[in-house]
Formats: sequence, structure tokens, C-alpha cells
Amino acid sequence: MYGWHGKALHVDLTHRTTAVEPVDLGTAKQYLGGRGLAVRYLSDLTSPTVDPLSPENLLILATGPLTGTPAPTGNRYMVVSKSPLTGALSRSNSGGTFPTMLKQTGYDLVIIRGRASRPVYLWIQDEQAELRPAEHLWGKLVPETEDSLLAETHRKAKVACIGPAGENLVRIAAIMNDKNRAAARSGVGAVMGSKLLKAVVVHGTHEVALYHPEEMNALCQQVRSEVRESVRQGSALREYGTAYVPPVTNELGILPTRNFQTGVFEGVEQISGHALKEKYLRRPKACFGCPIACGRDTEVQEPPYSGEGEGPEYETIAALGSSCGVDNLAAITRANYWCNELGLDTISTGVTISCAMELAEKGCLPIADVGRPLHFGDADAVIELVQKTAYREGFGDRLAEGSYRLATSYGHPELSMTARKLEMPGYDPRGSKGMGLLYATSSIGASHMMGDLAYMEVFGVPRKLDPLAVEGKAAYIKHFEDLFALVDSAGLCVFLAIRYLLSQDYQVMPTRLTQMLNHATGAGYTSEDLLHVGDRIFNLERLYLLGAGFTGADDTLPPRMLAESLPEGPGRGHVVELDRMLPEFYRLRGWDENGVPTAAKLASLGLNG
Amino acid sequence: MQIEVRLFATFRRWLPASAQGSRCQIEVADGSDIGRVLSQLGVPIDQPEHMVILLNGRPVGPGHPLKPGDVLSAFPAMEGG
Ligand code: SF4
Repeated sequence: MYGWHGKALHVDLTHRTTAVEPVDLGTAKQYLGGRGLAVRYLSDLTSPTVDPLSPENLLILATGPLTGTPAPTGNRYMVVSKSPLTGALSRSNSGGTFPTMLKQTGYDLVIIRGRASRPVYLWIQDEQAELRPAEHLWGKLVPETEDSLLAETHRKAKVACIGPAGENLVRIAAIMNDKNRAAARSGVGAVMGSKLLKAVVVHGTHEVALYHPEEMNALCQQVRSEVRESVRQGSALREYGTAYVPPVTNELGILPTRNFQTGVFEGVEQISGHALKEKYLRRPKACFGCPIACGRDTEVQEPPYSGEGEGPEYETIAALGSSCGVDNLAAITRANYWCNELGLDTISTGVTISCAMELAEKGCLPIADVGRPLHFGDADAVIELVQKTAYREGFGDRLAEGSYRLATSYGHPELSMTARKLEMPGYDPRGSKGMGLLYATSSIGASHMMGDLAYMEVFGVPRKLDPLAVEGKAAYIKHFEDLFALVDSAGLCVFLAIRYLLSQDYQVMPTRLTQMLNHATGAGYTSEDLLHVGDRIFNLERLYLLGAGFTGADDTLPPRMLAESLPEGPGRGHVVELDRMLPEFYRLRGWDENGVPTAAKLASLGLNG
Repeated sequence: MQIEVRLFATFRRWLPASAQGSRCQIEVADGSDIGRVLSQLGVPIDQPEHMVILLNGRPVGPGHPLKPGDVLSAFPAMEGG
């Protein structure tokens, strides 16, 4: 096989066994890899009704056919599971160098089930897979864990591991790789913790076989030089990282502020990429083979916030910063370091703390429960609560459940800024309406990474769309959801794919992505075939959700987004008119009025059993 | 007339010395349109499809006229966050 290795590693932690099974080429073609193939396995091997923290749940680490190839940013992997935060799917994406090395072991995906009787780690060296004791690592922070594992396996191995948050079954825990990169969303770290699996360590020497190596290299070279040229002319991502975004979203009035009470933050200049560059940036950092280098290697020297690490990215700044009313960039950066070291999703952590702050300010949360007064803007409270969350210490035990369970336990679920119980990312959908439809319909809940129409509504790529309009957004969201399913399954970073691999015509077709996939795999896709693959993946996910007990009624947003209008900014007076987009979205998807795929739709995708 | 200009991300390099953070108040000739003001600042506007222009927070094109007190913001079309 080309592009794919054609092999899956199955690991049973309960019985301490490993087995290698071939990946069927037809299935690989239909689901591509990464997210698509992993959701196929999850659906085939488990019931969608499993308890996410039980041994029956699967934890799947999946690369795509372009992971580990010369494709620029072909450095992603996906973690797919059933989420302990949402009860829906988890699909968490990370880059760095671990995913490339995972692919080089010779496996396309690793499928983990069961629960170990004592903490273990999985060590994969080329085809050899071994479970090793990890008692000595349990309780350790992410950087120490990685350092110890490299010392006891292979100097050039790569590590994905959980920190104390995952061990403590914190529902917003991440799986960290390369110390600072996170497969963050929807609690995959807790699934790993529930299996008593501390880490997966990989070292491999298998190159990925390519169907048309010369053509592939030429195309990748061309894309690479285009990116280099654009970086030379000035790239916001290279110069500021994603931290360039706060002033932009603030200008549109959609920068989440004080738990999404408004979208305009008075402290925006202090938390911008410019401030980060002036004060804390050591150097831009790239994932494997990426010419963009949007990562930030940073250091803070101001006590009590001093430390070093990576970040913050835009989403982190929005969640731990403006959503908590915090404009102290040193503190936000330190809180980010803590999240990385403890293994927490910065988005969910920040938005859960901001929910607690709103509960406290509204008098719904007694000071005695928190152990301290809690107000928006209190940077030190954020730092303290991040740590308590990871250890479930005191009030941290409440925060560890995520904002929906927190707000509900105090009788105010409406103050939880979540869709499908997943905390909303950094675009207030009242001023970016397509994002509202996306959050409501995504298979994992409120994630921008499931079909990020902010590209068009906010960033003007490939073309500017009016963020306040609802007309036509259903079609765009369907299209973007399918495109993102593709990019996630191919093994690429969306930052590159959106800008350089899609043609910028009305349809936003995956033209160069199609060529790359064909050169890598020889599958002979057309761009239409690929969109069909994206549609198939999205519908398979929908079937999983329906099987897990979700209905069309769950395709919704917090009441604040639907009924409380934005108080200021260009979107002043606006709410998300979900009822004006959702019926059209269902129709375009080939779903009935309850959000259930019709038999004809399923048949057209080959999903009818 | 006076307007406020805000330039973000890599466009910050064209902010005049009087700017506070990413914002500045500037005097422009009556009847100026957005394109003229941006070119005066040095922002290249030959490829308007590669930039986002907001007038009082709402997307507009470079030919749009200005009135006193307007807030004009611009940034390159970008990769996202
Ligand atoms: S653009 Fe950023 S996140 Fe994407 S691969 Fe490059 S460095 Fe990693």
C-alpha cells in the first residue's frame, strides 16, 4: 500500500496483549485515515452507549495518509474516542513531531482498549510493541514524564502522555505530546487516565511509500516555496503566532469576554500578539516539516509568573484571558504553561473558570465553596484554579467536571458557554453566525476545528463573508464541515490546507489536497470524491451521536447565544438565529427534520449497514 | 476631517509614529475614500482580495467613502487561529 502502511496495532490493556491487523484498503479509501478511519473503527468495535471512562471505551491514535510524507504540515494525528465530557465523539488533533514518528513505526493507527491493573506505558519501536510499568511516572508533570521516558527508551523517541489532570480523570484533560502540543479537546486525557495508560512512546524507521514520489515531491516543493515566499513578505502567523487574532476578533466584537457576556475587551492591546512578541517571545517554533512556524517558544521573567514553555495561542488567550476578564499576559502565559505541564485543555479550563467567575459575581456560588473571593479579572485566581482543577483539589473538583456540570450543580446551566457540553472557543457566534451553526452541529460540540468558517467570516480567506449574515451559511457550514473532515483525515494542519491547498473559487475545492492525496496513495480521487468522503465521515459521526442518545434537540447553543443580544460592537443587538439556519442545514445534509440522516442519504454514502 | 485608523497583525508596520498601540487618529481630506487613506499610510491596496477592511467593524471595500469620526481597520487576509 502507498500513503497508508496498511497496518493497525491493537492493544488490550486488560489482558496485556498486542496484535497487528491489516487495514483494509477499500475502507482506507472510503474513510481516508486519521479522524475518518478512527471513527469507522470506533463505530465498528464498540457501542456508542459505552461509559467513556470504562475499559470498553476505545482510545484510538490515528495518523493520515499524508502524515510522515513530504507534504508540508503532514505532521498531524487524531485522538478519537467517546468523550467523558460530552458523551459524544472526541476528535482531538495535534501536531509537533510525535505524529510523524508514530507513522514511522509502520502503523497507521493504534487502537487501545481495556484497563491496565497498574499504571503502564506503551513503547512502540518499529513493529515491536510492549507494555511497560509506569508507576514511577504516575503523578509526574508532562515535561518530567517525557524526560524520564526518553532516558529509558530511546533518545530520539517521541512521547504522548497525560499529566496529573488525565490521571485524576479531569473531564477537560488533554493528551500532550512533544511536551507542549495538545490533543486537547473533550477530555481524551481522562480516557487515557481511566485506562491507567500514562504514555505512548514511539520510535520508528519506516518511510511512507509513495505512489508517485517524483510528482509528490515536486508539488510539495512548490507549496513549500509559496509558503516561504509569503512568510518572507510578512506572515502574521510566523510573526505573532495565532496571538495576532485578539485585536481582530475584538474589532468584530466577538472576542469572548467575561464568560461571553460581551465580545469587546478593554484590555485587548495587552493580550495581543504584538505584546507577546515584544515581551516574551524567544523564537517561533514549527511542528515537523512546517514552513509556517506558528508556535511560540516563550519565557516570562516576571515573578510570580516566571517560567518558560510554549504559547499562548489565540484560543488560550481568549479562554484564560479575556473570557476571565484577565489582561495580564504574563499571568495568562504562566497559566498556559501550567495547563501544558498538568495536561489540561486551555479552552475548556479557561471557559470553565470564567463560568465560575460569573456564577460567583451573580451570587450563585458561595465564596466558601471556592475558598476565595472570585471576580473577573483576577489573574492569580485563574492560576490557582488551573492547578486545583488538575488535582481535583477543593473547588478544583467542581471545575474538573467542566462548565456544564459546574453550572448545573449550582442550578444555572444557562451560564455554561457550551454546545454538547464542550466549551466554546474564541469566536462569539452572535457576531459570526456561521460559527454558531458549526458549534451547534459539530460532532464533538463547540469546536472551531470542525469546520472553521471564521476563515471566511473573520479572516477573509479565501474570501470575506459578512459575519452577521445568516443567508447561505448553512451551505458553507456543510461544505466546511466536510472539508475539515478531509483535512483531519489526511493528516495535515488546517492552517496550511485552507490557505494553500484549496482552490479559491466559489466552491473552495480541495484541488491541491486532491493531487497530494493521489500522489501519496494512488487512490485516484477526484475533488468531488473527496468531498463525498468528508460527507461520509460526517454522517458516520452523526450515526454515532444518534446511537449515543443525542437528538436534533441537542443541535443547539447556550440560551445567551440564542436570546441575549451582544451588548456592544458591530454585532450589537445580534443573537444567533439558529432556527433560520438549522432546517436548511438538515435539508442540505439529507437529514430529516429531526436531524436524522434519511435512508437515501445513507445509501448514497454506503452507510446503510 | 478626523478618523481613527487601526492596523493589525503585519499591517502594524504602516502605523504612523503617533499611534497608540494599534490605533491612531489621523486627519484626512474631506471626501477621501478608504483606499486613498490606506495608500497614504503606505498599505498596499493593489490586491484588495488579500486584505480585510472594516469600517466601524463591518466589512467594506476600498472604494467606500469616509465620514468624520469613522473607525477604519485593516489587516491582511490570514490563516486563522
Ligand atoms: S502552522 Fe503551526 S500548528 Fe500548523 S503545522 Fe505549522 S507550526 Fe504546527
